[in-house]
Amino acid sequence: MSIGQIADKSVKISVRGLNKCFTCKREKGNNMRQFVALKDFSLDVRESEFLSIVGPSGCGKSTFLDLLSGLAEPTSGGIYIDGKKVEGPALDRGIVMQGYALFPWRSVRKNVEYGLEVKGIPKQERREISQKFLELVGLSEFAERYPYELSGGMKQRVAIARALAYDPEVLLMDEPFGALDAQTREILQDELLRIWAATQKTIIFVTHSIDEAIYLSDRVVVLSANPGTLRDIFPIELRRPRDGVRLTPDYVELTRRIADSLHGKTPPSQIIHNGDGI
Amino acid sequence: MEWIMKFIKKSALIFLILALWEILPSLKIIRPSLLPPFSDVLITWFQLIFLGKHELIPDILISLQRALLGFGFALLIGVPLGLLIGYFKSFSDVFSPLVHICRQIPALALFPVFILFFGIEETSKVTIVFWVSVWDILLNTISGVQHTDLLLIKAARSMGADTERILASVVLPGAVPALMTGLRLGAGSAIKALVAAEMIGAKAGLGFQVINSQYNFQISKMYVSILSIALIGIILNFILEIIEKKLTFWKPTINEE
Repeated sequence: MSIGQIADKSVKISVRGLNKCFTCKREKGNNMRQFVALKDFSLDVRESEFLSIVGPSGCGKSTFLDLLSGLAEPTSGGIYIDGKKVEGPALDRGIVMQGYALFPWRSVRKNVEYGLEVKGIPKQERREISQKFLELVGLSEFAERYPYELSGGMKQRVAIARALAYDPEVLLMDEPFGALDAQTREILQDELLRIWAATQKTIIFVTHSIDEAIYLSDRVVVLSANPGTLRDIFPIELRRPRDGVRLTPDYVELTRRIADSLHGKTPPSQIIHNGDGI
Repeated sequence: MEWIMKFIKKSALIFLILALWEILPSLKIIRPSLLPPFSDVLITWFQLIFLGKHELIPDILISLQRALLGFGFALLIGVPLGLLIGYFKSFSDVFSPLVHICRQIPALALFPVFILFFGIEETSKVTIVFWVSVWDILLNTISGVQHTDLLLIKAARSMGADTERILASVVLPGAVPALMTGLRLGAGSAIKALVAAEMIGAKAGLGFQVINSQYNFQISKMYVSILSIALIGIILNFILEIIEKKLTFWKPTINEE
């Protein structure tokens, strides 16, 4: 058994021997070059777990999320959610991106209702659901506003409400707070923890910030680049709620260990690959 | 008060030119037989539209009908085709070379061809309006589609939207600002080409009246026809601007005061 796998019955997502290569054309001549974005990547994520992924640029974090969301296909290996292989996008996963990706011509409410429209939910019910999630992110007063009237933090709340509205079991977040100022960022981190506690979603959270990863997560996964491989997994056994936890010695120690791993100062964990992929 | 100042600022030059148009022929500095005073033109305008046989009305209507029909067909064909060419690479591969050749052929050079095929009646005029405006609409739609925010498409796909839904709910609304630019450009060229076509080969219409009045030395009527054409262009553009504002309110502008 490799370090990415857990013997728990409550596994929500299991990633098995995932490889993703991109073929790049060289500028001169036609010889193809393979770029390995992810190599032999295996990982289990528990039901309702908050798991963060950190890693240097080019470690395949975003590629991994694209594969998880079904927007890209792996070269080999597979991802299973509740034992079912991921084949294309579906409403069991919600995505929140750094760039918010709100539809500028739709009001806040209409943005939140987009996935529900795709799902074919009737108007009255859509409205009730969107209202519920706008309240959850504290934006019910802004339901009829448009994205250009909102601040970055508010836009990201709308994006979170939109991803939650069609009730996915897994929430994929790709550096969602990366573009926000430090203060808004901390507020949204606490909001996200509150929403997570209220909705019990399984969350996979990609970030550049070690601090953010520790503060939010049950486990932090460190990837290394070229090729993107799983380097270490750190369980975060700090108390919850996490208010004030940033000042504790345990927190500081974790920050140091994850930073060392990220910067390649410690030897990576022994990862064993077994052929049958279990 | 502020809007009065703004109005004066914006219209001062126009009023100056109209004043010169009135004064110079009246003082015989310009021969009134070549350029009648503006007031004469206005009176003729009024007479031709409201008095007697309402002489100019049929010409205005027929020109409008040709313009709107041709423009309408261009819209019906240009927008869907632009969506497909802009979004699907296979469509682009097949259609783009043809589009880029065709748009370079001047419409007026094709007018004799249209007359050969469709006769001197309405069809040839509608076709020339269609031909000039469809390229503006098509190319701007394509450009709007190609500048769609990929992140929005990614978001829509992640929520399970299929290609049809993405085209209708993401690509099309995102292309609306560029599309509206195309419509305004298209409307402008449509009127210009229509007038030229009516001057070459038509028995009615404002373009026909410009040339016909000159032949018959009804100089005031000639100016009335010219001004009517300009006015139609201005009104059309104004309507399109209002529609554009309604449809693209969500787009932040840099032109705020």
